[in-house]
Amino acid sequence: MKIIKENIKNYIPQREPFIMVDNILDANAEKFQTDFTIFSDNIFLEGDKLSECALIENIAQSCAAGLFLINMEKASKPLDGFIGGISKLFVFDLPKVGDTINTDVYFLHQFANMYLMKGEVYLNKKKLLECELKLAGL
Amino acid sequence: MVLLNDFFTIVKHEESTGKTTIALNGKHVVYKGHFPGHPVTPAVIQMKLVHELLEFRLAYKVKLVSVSQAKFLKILNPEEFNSLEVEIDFTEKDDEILLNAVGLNQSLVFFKIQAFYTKC
Repeated sequence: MKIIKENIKNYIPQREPFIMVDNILDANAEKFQTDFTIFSDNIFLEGDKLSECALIENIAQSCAAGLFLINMEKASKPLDGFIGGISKLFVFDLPKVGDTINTDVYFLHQFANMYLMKGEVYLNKKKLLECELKLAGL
Repeated sequence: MVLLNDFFTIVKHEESTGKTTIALNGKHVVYKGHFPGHPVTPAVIQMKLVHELLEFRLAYKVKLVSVSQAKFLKILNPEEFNSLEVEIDFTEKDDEILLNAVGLNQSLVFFKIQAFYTKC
């Protein structure tokens, strides 16, 4: 475990109620792994299911946290980051309250402060959603 | 969370052109976390408001299947831009809906989304 939930705010610019990542399990130059548990106060719940919006945001915040973690010697605090593009997105299923999702994000390409990342969200090894994100300003 | 009548309200809707003018609620709790002291409308919230406007047009619930492409071209700060014109073009085939949406304020384009949905 690289970063635990209690410290996640040191690694991402988002704050409650918009924090959609808990722990950074691993981060290296190719791949970041995170997890996130869905509680009943999550703003993206619809009934007992979590909206796909929260899963996309979870991938974006996993990227932000991992990028800051591996670039800490260059930046003193996490900068506000933005999703500039979403593509190749497929929704397979949605998690429920009480579920813990696992997310893998991979570097595809970097140009200056623009990053193209691929993200996959899993629940018990079953893929819930995948997409590519273009992120800027991290 | 339902955004309609909380995060945004419909100011005007023209069914013939598919254009809907919406007002953004800059005081919504989403902006407290994204980001503190610097409100920016999250891309995923822009996706969600398009989803809800599509349901408003269809008068039935849909779920997102895939996104071919979504582009977020300009930072949408509700203190700077508190309204948006959303143009939604869709085609229904069986239970599948192909959507093309553009979000603008005057001549400024904030987003372009192409996505597939299916009837719930």
